[in-house]
Amino acid sequence: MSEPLLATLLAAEHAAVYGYGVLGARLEEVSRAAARTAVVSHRSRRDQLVALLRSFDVVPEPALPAYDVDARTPAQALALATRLEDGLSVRWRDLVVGTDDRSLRELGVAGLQETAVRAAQWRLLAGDQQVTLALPGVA
Amino acid sequence: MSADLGPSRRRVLTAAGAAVLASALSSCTSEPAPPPPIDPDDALRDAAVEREQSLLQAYDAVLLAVPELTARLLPLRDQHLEHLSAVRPPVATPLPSASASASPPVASVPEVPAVPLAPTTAEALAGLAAAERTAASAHALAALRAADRPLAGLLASLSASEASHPVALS
Repeated sequence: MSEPLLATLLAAEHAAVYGYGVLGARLEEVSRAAARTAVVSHRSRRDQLVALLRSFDVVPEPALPAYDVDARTPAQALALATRLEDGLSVRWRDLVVGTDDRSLRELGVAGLQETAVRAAQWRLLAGDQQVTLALPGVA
Repeated sequence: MSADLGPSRRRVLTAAGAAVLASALSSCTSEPAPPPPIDPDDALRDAAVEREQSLLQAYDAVLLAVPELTARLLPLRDQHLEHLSAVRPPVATPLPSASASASPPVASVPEVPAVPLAPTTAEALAGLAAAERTAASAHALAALRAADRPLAGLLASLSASEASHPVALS
């Protein structure tokens, strides 16, 4: 049963879309374009998950009115973006490990790659020493 | 009567047939059992190990040619070492036999990395980034094929890590 995994992913994507709305306004101009690209990608994954859940006859949960995210400075905004992507990496990897269905696994691998790449981009922009992770998605 | 002195034709044929059958049976039982079929997941692990070793060689070649990249490349190289031990955890070394200790345990890697001794830093980084992307795609494909779910997750993580390495190489 992959529906609970997909539902958890959808909740995380809802939170990411909201989070980028909050942090995007705090980013410096150089990072803002990356945030715009990221939010487009998260909306697209969100819509894909909604469609998938409906195809399994599951009513997808809507986004919450608000999420507990905060970013007041550019540095906090970068840190939040990194945290959102790292958190999503764990969820996408959970999907890979939780299914034998090839197309769902493919979706999980693609999601994990995307979030790992974006997290690395955010760490690079933040000036972190270590930009990449050895095992993205491993909590 | 002469016919009774020798074995009849039928008897000879029957005896010969029995001998053939007996030898066939004995060959069945005396031959060593065929090796067990290779676990497809083991083949996936082997291929992943080879990819990581190739990447390590590629990094070593660049580090040798462009030492000023060391600080930047070593963290990425270290992650490939982590990948290697995650796919094939170092096992307690079995008692080395005389012949095994005679030859040093050098891992032979069939595929030479496609990163030539690059004349410029930019080309060296671009070569590594390309090698990382190739490995990321291969790991991703392997993750789809793995029967063992934890192995699928591990290969997916390796794929994602290597997909992200070009960010640090740009």
